[in-house]
Amino acid sequence: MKRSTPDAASFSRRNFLAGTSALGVAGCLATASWPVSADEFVELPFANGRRELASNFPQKGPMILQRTRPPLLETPFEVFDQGVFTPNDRFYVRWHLPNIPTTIDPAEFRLKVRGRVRQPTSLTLDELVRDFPPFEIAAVNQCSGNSRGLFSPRVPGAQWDNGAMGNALWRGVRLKELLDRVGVAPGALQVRFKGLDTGVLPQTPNLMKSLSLDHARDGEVMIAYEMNGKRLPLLNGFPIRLVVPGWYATYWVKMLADIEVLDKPDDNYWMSKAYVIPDTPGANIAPEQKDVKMVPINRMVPRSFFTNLRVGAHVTRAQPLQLRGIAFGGDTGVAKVLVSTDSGRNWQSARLGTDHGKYSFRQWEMLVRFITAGPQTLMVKAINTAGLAQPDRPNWNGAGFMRNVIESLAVQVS
Amino acid sequence: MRSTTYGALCSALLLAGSPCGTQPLFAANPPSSQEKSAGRSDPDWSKVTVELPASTTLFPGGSAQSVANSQCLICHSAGMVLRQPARTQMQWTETINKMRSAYGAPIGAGEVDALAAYLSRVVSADSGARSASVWQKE
Repeated sequence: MKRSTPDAASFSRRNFLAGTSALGVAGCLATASWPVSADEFVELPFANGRRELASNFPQKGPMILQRTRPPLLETPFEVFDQGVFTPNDRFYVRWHLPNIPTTIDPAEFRLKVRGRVRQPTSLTLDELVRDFPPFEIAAVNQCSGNSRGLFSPRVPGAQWDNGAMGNALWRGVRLKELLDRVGVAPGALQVRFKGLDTGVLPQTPNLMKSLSLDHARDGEVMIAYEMNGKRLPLLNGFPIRLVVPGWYATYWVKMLADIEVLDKPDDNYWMSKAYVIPDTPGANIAPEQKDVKMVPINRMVPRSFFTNLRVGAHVTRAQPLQLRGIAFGGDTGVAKVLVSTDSGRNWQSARLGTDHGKYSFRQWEMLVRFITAGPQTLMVKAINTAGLAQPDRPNWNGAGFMRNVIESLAVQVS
Repeated sequence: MRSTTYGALCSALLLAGSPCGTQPLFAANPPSSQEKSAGRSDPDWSKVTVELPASTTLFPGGSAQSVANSQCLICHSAGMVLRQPARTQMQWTETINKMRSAYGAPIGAGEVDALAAYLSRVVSADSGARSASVWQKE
């Protein structure tokens, strides 16, 4: 490695130590009860929620095993307490199709740009890096179904807790520059993206996702060749993936190899049947509701979390307690993070950490002192810069998408 | 803010210079872009070869076990199925039919009912845990 930046491991360790030493001096952290036992299982907070912690996936540290093939790996939640950026080796993993190339030779790799363009092109990675100005953006990548296991009534699909998300500093090339280079032809309407993964059965539709031409050319949608200063882990899309800031991860096509400019709306399975949501505020419907108009999932909504306490934590009145966590605004920045220590009756603004841009996680912290012993419920909610707040009640839809209810945390004060 | 159960705090205590308030409590951030740009070289484009772990989990015993193990496992491992919430036979029928129509799963129309009934029995509150600890060793 000739790079001046630290590798993911030292990066993560340094952040962790920085966090611990500050807490050590301050001495105000109550014991966080992480539900990890010696035999390396995690109990997620819903029925049938016992999961192995798997450490046998390439370029990955311990991850919550949701599925071995194709891999679904969840980030253990304590990782989000260790820094505002999620280390590459702990970043969650979600694949749909089982044939994932296990060898990538960057010298042989080509990115095709074709369809309604003036000059169909096939780019090498070197051309991508050298022929276009580099662009960097911090952005949260969150699975549409993050937190699906918490839906009530339960819905089928990957039974994630809250760890199907991550924040990274992405470096690469603006898609706009690439499209300008090849020249979009008249009649272009959408841009479709496809990676190298495929199904086993010929009938299985290739994973393809599309964006409107205007969105593709907004100057923020990009093709990333690095995350957090390092190349991407293979399971996060090496050598390049699409980054669609503010939008759910289903659009962030991994191992991106094919860009096709379309002159009509894309009605392939992954746009018209999968990843569609009720066209209602918060994608929220009643479980018995039928014949709802469905639209492709799109912009993310605000969320916030406690990261240094888990449900059932024991805290003491003897010392002030530092609460801290992360928030993100969805498709725009975080305006405010509000914390309640009395089940939502009163709310106070938390102090916000460094602003890494409107699509990034934002850390927050607040110091509280408990006076009365017994069970207490802490709550946290984010309000984004468009004025959208997390809802008091959970949304529901049959696919388990877009959960963003205010987070509640029951603790025991002694 | 006033609370009868908690003194709240934070801003007041932080300003008062409590031990907690004097320390930077946010975990460290990664190097800034400026730092990273200095001496930047091209990305590491050496060849990458990885090995993905294989699942050893099989569907547990039951009438449709062989259909599950021969057909479902073509495209995905068993673990995620066994980690689903408990569902009715009708709900499993919907899922199996989606696998057939959307993804091309070669499950015969005549096999659907028995497979759905089987899954509604074996996927339970502890089937995910059992898939890891018991069945893969059977």
